[in-house]
Amino acid sequence: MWTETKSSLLSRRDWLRHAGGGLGSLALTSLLARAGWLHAAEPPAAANPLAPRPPHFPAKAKAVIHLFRHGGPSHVDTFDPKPALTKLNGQPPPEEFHQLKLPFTDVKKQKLLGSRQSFSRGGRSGVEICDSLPQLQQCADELCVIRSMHHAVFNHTPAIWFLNTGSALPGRASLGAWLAYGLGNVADNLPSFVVMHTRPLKPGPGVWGNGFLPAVYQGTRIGTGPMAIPNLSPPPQLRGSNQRALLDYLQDLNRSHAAQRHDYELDARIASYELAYRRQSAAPEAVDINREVLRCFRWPSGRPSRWRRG
Amino acid sequence: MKPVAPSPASARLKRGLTALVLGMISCAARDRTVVTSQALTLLNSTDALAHARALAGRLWTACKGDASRAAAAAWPLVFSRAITRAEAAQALAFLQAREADWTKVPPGADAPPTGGGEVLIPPARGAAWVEWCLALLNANEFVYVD
Repeated sequence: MWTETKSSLLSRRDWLRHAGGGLGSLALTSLLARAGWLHAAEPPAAANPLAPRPPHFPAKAKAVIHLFRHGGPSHVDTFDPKPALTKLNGQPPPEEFHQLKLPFTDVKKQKLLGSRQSFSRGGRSGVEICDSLPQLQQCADELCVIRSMHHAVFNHTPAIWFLNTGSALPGRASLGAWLAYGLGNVADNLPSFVVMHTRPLKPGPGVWGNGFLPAVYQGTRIGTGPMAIPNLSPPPQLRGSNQRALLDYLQDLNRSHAAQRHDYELDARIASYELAYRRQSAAPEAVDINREVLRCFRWPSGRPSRWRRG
Repeated sequence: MKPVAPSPASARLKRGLTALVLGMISCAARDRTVVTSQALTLLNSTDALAHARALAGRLWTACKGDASRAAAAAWPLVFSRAITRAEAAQALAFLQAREADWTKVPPGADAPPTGGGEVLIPPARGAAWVEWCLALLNANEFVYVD
């Protein structure tokens, strides 16, 4: 158990787990596997945690764009008309709601605010959309509107956590982190989960964080302009020359260091430098919108011509 | 809602079970995953460059610009051990090759080793020394504690 290299000594945590929970965790693992819990999500291999993994069901989408519009128009004003609320506009909530316990709020003393929007049904599906969005009404059949979701989170910050991570408390993995964990990354040189924001969100970057998943699954923030990803290119003092030479020298040092040790993390770090190097060349191209081809801006079916750019 | 105080026995059982389950699966371990942005920060940030320039300047001053003495001095400073013969040869080869490259393609902006005193360091050699120190500060042996 004890060997000469210091790095292969068991950590206190590992020792406790092996000594105390060894049999128990084996039993638990097999129970979970039998229940189908572990089978569904095998932990990713240590070598490349971002290796692409097949989904459980055939994929219908190649990419997902999740727009979280902090302070955007409410569902009541856009896609989710509430006739009863409109009727009770300006009145206190009905008595049946008086027992509701909300932080900072005495429900009895409040007045209800109904939407001032009018709604029309659009498309063959008849989805109700507010009349302030007439162009979207024409595309009603391209939309899937979910009205069945509800929650009991009343305050802004917990609500933002809830919407992005599924829990009102911080510490859970965001949806994008789960996707990266479950499906891996098909692009070798680019992150699979990127985040763009104008202003930082109230709860902080944990909203697109990895929670308890390994950090490699967290969202990569990209901005605009030539430095869209921070530190993507060398400082001007070291720019213009062959950075590969520095990296080769560094990796030589790292490989002979890793050869004397058995530690996946060292291998992972060597790999992360290679990825960083490849990303340096691939990422600027990916975020450069000026090289975008015009047809990308056309509506796929070509129907509403006003969706075309220019 | 007032929480119901659990009986001592059930509280003990609950604590025991929690400790058992947590101990086996997911005790809150510090996250040790490596991500690409860490590598990019250590390689390309102005902060990392400043540290590399300071180290290069310190070595340059201490060794009066002698590369093999600088390599021998760098290892105890950065890695807390003596340099091996192979590592010394590798370091010298790197410094020479990089200086030759920087002579052909001058650095985009001047950033000589800092604290080098009044001695004028040729830009290509200065860039090579800074780059070399940047590599040392990025090495796993420096970044990780055994």
